[in-house]
Amino acid sequence: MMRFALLLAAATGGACAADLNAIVRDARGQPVADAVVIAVPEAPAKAPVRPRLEEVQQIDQEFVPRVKAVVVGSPVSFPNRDSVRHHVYSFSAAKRFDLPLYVGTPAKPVLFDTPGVVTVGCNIHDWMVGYIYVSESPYFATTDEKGGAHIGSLPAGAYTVRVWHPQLAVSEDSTRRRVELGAALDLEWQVALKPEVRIRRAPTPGRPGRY
Amino acid sequence: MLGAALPLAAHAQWTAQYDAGLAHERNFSRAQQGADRISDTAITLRAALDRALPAGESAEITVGAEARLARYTRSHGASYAAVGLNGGWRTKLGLGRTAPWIAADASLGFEDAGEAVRDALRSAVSLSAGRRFDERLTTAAGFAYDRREQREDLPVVPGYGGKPFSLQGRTLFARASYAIGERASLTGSAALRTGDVESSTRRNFAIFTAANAIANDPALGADFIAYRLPGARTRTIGGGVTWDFGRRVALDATLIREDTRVAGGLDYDNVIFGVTLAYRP
Repeated sequence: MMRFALLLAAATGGACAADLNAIVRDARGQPVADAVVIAVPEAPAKAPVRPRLEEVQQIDQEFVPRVKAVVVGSPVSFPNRDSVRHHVYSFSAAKRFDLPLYVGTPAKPVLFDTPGVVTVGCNIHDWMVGYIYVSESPYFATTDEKGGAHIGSLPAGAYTVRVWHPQLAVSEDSTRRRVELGAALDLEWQVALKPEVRIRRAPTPGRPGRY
Repeated sequence: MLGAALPLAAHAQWTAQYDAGLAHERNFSRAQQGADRISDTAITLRAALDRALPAGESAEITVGAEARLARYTRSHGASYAAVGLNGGWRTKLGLGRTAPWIAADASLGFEDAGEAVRDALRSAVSLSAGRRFDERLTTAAGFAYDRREQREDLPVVPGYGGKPFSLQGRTLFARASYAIGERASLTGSAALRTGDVESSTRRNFAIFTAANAIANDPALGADFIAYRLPGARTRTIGGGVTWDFGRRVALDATLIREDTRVAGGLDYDNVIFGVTLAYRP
């Protein structure tokens, strides 16, 4: 599912807007989903960013979406759609928080006010892991199952574009590209990914219950 | 009190699991001499239903029931059906996936075997603690007390009790699991158990003098006798690999070696190889 984060479109106007189409593949050429493509304008934004309320749900004891990109300053709500309680937390430098056991939607969203990657977990279900990418730029998108991401209506100008993914084997900095955006631009990355090692959720023979 | 429990029950979680497997024992009779050692393979089935209830900010109580079947290919009289109940309490000592945890578990079950001498009521309690170090490595260690009560007294020798399958023991155990990829994990375990063991052999004066309960064990052969040997020490080392097929199915292969030391030189060893397919709907 393609995601857009265009908070300045109305302020900057569409007349001189450009589109950025990105494709992210792994080292074997396979499409990479859940990669965040971020375009950072070299010229400062002309209008203030107006973050909106974002949402990361818990469905079937997983975070949905698993990777969520938000602009810095965004409040994020963590509604629990499961029938069991969750205890959502993060120890990440960009945001430390703790939502003790709850069902439904916590009354107060969490404010993500520092750029960076925030890894979230559940203290009850250790296999649950999600990522919130807090972008300093309002221009970003997350790749879909085909590895594609589209950032529309970008103001023309110079940008630094980079890619982040939870399994990225190289530094995010090494994916940087400087581009001049005048009209539509297609970009493609081929990135090395580390194997994904997650805490087991599969059944263990003989458990639960043993005598 | 009931009213306070109801909101918790509303957020309880049911978990069902079904296991099917094969288990081969090189010394199923747990005999000392080669001529008495009987190897056998069992087809095993298990169905379990658990309910986890939250108990505070980072603790949960689990109650469950299970049914098991084991069909031995050679020793038909040892085949059994079993039902059991279990309960446990587990809490994390902190926040996060690497926070250590402690747990207390108890279980009670009844086994109905092909031969009456092997019918038994089993119970166990354990205390354990563990810690996950990262996504790959998780460890646990603990203490367990197990008790098996043979249902029927079947004496064959005057002056000796007829319940060689009534056993009890205390075990110190440790286990670890290490993920070696996106789907595969290696597991390892070690345990030291002290207490009673049961050993089935043909007539043997040395074991006769060391035993404190004796009965016929026709499951292994008309000439086999079951002896209860007190004060045994069993060291167990195990290793295995688990392969996950998604979040609901896993295939587990384990190899376990047991070395039992008994006073009077009545030592024996055993190797158990098992393959189990587990499914959680």
